[in-house]
Amino acid sequence: MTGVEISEVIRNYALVAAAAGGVGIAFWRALAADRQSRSQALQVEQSRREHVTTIFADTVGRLDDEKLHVRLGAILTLRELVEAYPDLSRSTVDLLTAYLADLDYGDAEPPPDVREIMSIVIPRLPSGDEE
Amino acid sequence: MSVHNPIVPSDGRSLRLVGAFIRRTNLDRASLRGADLSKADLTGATARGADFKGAVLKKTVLKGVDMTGAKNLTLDQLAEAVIDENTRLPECIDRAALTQKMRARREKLL
Repeated sequence: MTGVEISEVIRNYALVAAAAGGVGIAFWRALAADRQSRSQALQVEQSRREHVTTIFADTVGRLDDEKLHVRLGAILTLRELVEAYPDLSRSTVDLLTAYLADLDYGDAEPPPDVREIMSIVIPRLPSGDEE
Repeated sequence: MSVHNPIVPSDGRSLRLVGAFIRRTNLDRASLRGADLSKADLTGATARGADFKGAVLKKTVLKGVDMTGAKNLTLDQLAEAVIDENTRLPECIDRAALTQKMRARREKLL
């Protein structure tokens, strides 16, 4: 084997080694980027949960207000929250039905907040359903 | 009146209206399948064409409730509820049989 051939073999091995190292570094960087992206997503989700929990708690507090329009606003806000965050649906329905158990409007017509809650929590049969 | 669709929780659990004070409310064509209405007060409500399949009506006050055309209501369910002469029962329920069943139930409890 001549000196030129030997140098070519060495060069080829060096290239292969460099390529392997490059792949390793790229893989490591991809892993790091993935970890960072997951961590950011987790932080965003945590901050979203905290924000929603705060809104939810504030809104629930307004259900106790003596003014009807404030209570109605709270009920509608809860409805909107569930549209945006369906995972809150069970707790919202339970909360609103508990609200109904805490009332006594005598023999009068049901007040608007009760009617609104009924329209929110009671599913209706589709018209024409004769099952 | 709300323009939204009702909230349907994704966990599949039935509605709990235990002790709810919902006098004179509109339950027409309501789907109350499996709903727990124990001790709820529905006095004067309308529940025409509502579906009561598997609904729990233990001590539910149904005085003056219009249940014309209600579906899947049984004597056993109604015998646990509180009704009066103004309660309008669905056509499939025989009032005399219901009265008898309620009387028998009361005697059994005494």
